[in-house]
Amino acid sequence: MIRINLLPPEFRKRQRTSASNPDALGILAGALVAAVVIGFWGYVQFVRIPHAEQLIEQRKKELVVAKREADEVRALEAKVESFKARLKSLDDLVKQKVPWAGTVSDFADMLGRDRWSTPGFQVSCTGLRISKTTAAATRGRSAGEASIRFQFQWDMELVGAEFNLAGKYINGFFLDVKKTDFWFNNGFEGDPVAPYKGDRPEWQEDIERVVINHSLQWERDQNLEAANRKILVERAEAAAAAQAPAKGDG
Amino acid sequence: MRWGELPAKQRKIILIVWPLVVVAVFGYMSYGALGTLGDDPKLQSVSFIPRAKAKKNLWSQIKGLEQQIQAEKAVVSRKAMAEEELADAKLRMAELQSRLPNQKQKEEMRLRLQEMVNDVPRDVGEVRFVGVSIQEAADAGAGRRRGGKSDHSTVTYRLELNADMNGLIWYLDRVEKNPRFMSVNALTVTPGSIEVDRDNLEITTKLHKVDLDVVTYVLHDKEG
Repeated sequence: MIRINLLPPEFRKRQRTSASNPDALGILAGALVAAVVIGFWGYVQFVRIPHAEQLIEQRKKELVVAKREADEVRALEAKVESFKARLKSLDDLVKQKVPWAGTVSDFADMLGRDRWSTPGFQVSCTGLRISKTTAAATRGRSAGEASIRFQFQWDMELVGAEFNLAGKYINGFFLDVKKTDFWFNNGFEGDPVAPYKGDRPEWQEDIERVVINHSLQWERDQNLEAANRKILVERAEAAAAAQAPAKGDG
Repeated sequence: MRWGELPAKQRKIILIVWPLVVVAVFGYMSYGALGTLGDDPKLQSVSFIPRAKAKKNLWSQIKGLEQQIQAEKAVVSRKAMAEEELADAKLRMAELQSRLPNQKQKEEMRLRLQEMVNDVPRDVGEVRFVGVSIQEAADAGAGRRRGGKSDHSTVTYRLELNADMNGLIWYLDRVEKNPRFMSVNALTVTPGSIEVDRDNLEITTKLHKVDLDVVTYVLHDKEG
């Protein structure tokens, strides 16, 4: 079919140009797409990957420095732990100290008291033996807790006015002991009467007194002493707290 | 053959195929490169693009290293606290060491124990020094150094005294309150005899016999 172009030449030319454009546009579009893909690959391959590799090297160097510093701190901490372990062992040794001056003083005060709640007798000590024991605690301690315990063994001599009241004297003595500072403040365990195994009162004509000799063995526990001290502090605090509002009211 | 001489259909095919080939080749290469790179934060916006699965890609290595650095820095941040603890521990150790004698000071302790006997005021009571024997045993308990050797020994001063009750209590108090660590581990009191002076009608009590075990711990060295 023969085409006849009746358009003026300037229009014809433009139309010719636009007619050759689809290929050029196709090439351009293809090149653009190819350029984007190649550009992206190039960016990843030649920019991002080298950057990441460089970053790895940098981080490795930082890690070496940080590790060196951390190792110093770890060595320091190990030294602290070693010190603490030694301190603890020495502390444990020092904590094994149990004071006796106060206890013996309280004991002497107890025996030297003017009168007992049951009148008519006096008690004296004719022998005293204090020694460390390894016996297990019966109360007031959790499993594995260190136990510092002592045996307080003494020979009692009770001198009373009347032979028939010997039982009363013994009974009164043990009842009173339990209420003394000596018994409560020094961590003695259980009941003072527990080691009592009976007695044989003897009437001594020359002094006209009944005499009872008996050996008693009590146990002292350092932890119990601490627990009792805590109770005393709590009682004192409670008493102070109770008094405070009363004073405020006044 | 020139481009213009190619049939339009072939030109169309070429125009479509060559970009596709380029996209396929470089797309595959990008797929591999992205896999090698890993999760680069700068490429978050194109995270939808599929990538090869590489176990040790670069960014996972970076993150792993950063985690290790953070962990080490966390340790480093404890430095001030560790130094403070060490200074404190050294101070406490020095204080404890000053309380516990070393080997050379064993005799000094024995001297102090006798001197304290002489310190008892006359108006308080009476204590007389009779003798002392020293027993030393390597501690089998805590406080061991490396190699299983104990760093201290238990030294027991077995004192023999003659004392009245007030003097004995005063002496015990001095022993227990001494700046050097001394602990009374055993005490035996045998009462002194009572004598009656019938001519003067006086009762005299002789001093009690006292056996006293005073224990201290002797450090083998003062290291640290």
